[in-house]
Amino acid sequence: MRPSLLVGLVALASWALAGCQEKYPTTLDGDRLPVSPITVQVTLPFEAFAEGATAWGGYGRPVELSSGVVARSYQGSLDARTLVGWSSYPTSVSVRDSTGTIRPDTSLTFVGGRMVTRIDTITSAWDGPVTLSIGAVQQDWDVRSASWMWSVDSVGNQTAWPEEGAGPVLPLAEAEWDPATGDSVVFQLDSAAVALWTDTVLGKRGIRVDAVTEGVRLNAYDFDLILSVKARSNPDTLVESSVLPRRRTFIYQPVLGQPQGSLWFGSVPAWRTVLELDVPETVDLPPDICAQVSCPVTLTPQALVSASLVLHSEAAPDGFQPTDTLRMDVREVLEPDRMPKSPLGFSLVGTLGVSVPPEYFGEEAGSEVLVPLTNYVEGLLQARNDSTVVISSSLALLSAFEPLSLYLASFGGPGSANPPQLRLLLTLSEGVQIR
Amino acid sequence: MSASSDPRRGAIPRHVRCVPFKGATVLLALLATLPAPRLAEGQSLLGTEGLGFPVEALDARARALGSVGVGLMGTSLLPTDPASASGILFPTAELTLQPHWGEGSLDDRALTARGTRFPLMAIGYPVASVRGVATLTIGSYLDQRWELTRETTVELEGTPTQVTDAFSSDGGVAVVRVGWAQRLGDRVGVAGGLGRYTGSVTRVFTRTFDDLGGVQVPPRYEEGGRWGYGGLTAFLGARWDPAPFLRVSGALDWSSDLDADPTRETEGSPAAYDLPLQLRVGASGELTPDLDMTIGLTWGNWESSGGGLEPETVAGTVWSLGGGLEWVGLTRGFKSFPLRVGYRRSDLPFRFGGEAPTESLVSGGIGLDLFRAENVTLGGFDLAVERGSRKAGSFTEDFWRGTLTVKIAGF
Repeated sequence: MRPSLLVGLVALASWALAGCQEKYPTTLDGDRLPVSPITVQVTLPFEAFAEGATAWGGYGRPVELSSGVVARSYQGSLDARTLVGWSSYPTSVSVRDSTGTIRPDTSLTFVGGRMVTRIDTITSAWDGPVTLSIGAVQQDWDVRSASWMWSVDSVGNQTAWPEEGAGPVLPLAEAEWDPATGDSVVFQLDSAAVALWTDTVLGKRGIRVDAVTEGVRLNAYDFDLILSVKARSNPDTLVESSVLPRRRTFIYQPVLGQPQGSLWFGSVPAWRTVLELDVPETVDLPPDICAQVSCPVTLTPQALVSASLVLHSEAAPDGFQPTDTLRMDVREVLEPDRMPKSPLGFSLVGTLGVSVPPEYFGEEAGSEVLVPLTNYVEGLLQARNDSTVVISSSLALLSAFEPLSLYLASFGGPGSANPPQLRLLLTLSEGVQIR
Repeated sequence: MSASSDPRRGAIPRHVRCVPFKGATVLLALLATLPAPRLAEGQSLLGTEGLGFPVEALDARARALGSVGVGLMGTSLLPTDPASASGILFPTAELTLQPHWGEGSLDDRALTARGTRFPLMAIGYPVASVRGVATLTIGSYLDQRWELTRETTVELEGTPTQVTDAFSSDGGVAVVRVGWAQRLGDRVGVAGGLGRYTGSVTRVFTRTFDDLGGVQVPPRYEEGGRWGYGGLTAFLGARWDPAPFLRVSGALDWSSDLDADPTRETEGSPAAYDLPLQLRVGASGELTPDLDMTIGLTWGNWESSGGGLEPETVAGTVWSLGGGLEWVGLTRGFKSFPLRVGYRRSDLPFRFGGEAPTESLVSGGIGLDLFRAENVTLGGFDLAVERGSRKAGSFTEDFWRGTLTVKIAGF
């Protein structure tokens, strides 16, 4: 084939295919649409779509959080203290001896030190500089079960603190945290204090971190014990050596009781709320809609465009006011009879859950939160006529990351001024025909 | 034009020596892999009415000449002129593709449409012992691809909410025909055959809620269905060359009802449509040794059908008249490069906004015989360009349409 012919063929093919980028005739003339569906929104009251709501607590422990909590009379209610137990002290350090050689030395004298912690300035609540104190805990405690009342609270072993709130403690140091200067708090420790924890039993008991200033709630991280060490081979030089916290938890009071007329999720141990749904088979519509369609309207998966659980936020219990965004997860309760230990299904709202800003539980209490449940409600409707669709009518509201924090989310429950609602968006149509 | 000694006249070559066409196998394989003709690409807003927009299964030569597809000199594999295939001497295959670009307005709103379709694939296989040709054609018939959108608001518990409605139709009707064309002497040919309507359409309505506060993903309502088409057709055709410079041809198409049956998942109802009896007549004559003229006419009577087309939808009797000139004076060696011009005016079968639409167009084109063995065209192209307009009440549309036909023979 001659080159000129080939070029011609390519040009011809290009021209012929030039229209391949499809564009359909389109107009904004709605009168020509062959169908005229009616869309209506229906908001069902709680009793019309649910049989009840039950709160379940006790999921997770404070030790599972990534931070400790320190509070004193926060919102006039909450006291929290963080307990930190230390690992063993170092048994040797490397120092330069008189000949200039660096070598390990196991003959150590602990002459002092400091304890450094950092405050999460985003999730903490304060009003000006805060004074914190640390004291040596005098009693063994169990990191998994310690609480305000009990140092150990496990099956077959319940031991109370001599003094509620992990007391008494041997006062060691105080420090002031000024938020304007940074996020670190440094507690200076004398030789007697650091000598205390050379005993591994006492070291394991560790310290209790208290807030001296009232009206604060702080989330504290990174409890680092930095020792000043003098080695025999070079007594003129001080060496610093870090001791990592071996264990950490926090204790608080008051402990939340069963909510009255509220739906809760969050806090630690965490709360979940289980809703028992009973979506009606038909719904009534406003008279103007009923003039166009036959009422009541049967709920079908085809007609359902969206379904949202409507919650209204309310102020959290004193002391448990959120200070950062919460993320609500919604999952099927697969075996409701086994609550609170029923397995849960996959998330119905995505991995990150439904974002709820902290203001909704304070100055913006009463805000509306929509939880998208379209696919779930569609499944409930399908299950009525299709035995192969297996879906639980119990839904659990919980924190997407559980446990996430001490604070919790609270919404109006059944019987409250703002009970949950189910908002359905329906589109009613006679169906698409070929003509 | 296919394998005949003179593409205009259909004369039979006395001594033909075939030269193997190396590209034929490749082209044939390419043809086999192409999708069946889809009336696909949104041809016009007029397609939103009735059964869609009619798309004739014509090749580029017929398009360039403004022809209605019957009575052209030479041979062809046009389903609109089945007797024309009787002159084919070698196995022949044709593929036609057709890009188009349109711009129009409805009530002063601008509209655009563009796309490419494959309106015709055809194969003819001569059986020399009986002087006949078996034909298989797959041709377009109705284009049903279009989409309408509307932005409006709905009241949701007293709150106006913006929604976007869209209705899309995607599909069309094609016709698969098998036939036999028989030469009766050198001047007469007759043809007949059967065919089946095929294709489907998917119709979907969607309503998207653009502004629902608090909902992360805007919800969307969707309903629709898919219908498959079926029906039978039979055709007869004849050509007569009363003189070496004159040809007269005619064809008659009969169709059963076109049935549209919903798929199992579709809740919509079935429908049946009366398809019209269609008559085509055409003639071509030699004005000078290098210049031919052709003219043709089609007639069809579209009627309403219960459960299908409403009486106010169909335009009733529709005519189409077209013709053109073909000049074959441009040659190079044994190859010819015929130049063509034409004009055509057609009624369209489905009313738009209560008005009967019409289409008129002027056309031009050229033939390119790329492979010839002695006097026989074994491979080539025909190219046509049309400039047309359509009108129905407040709707007007101007369009460009190109048509390219690829032909191979002797494979």
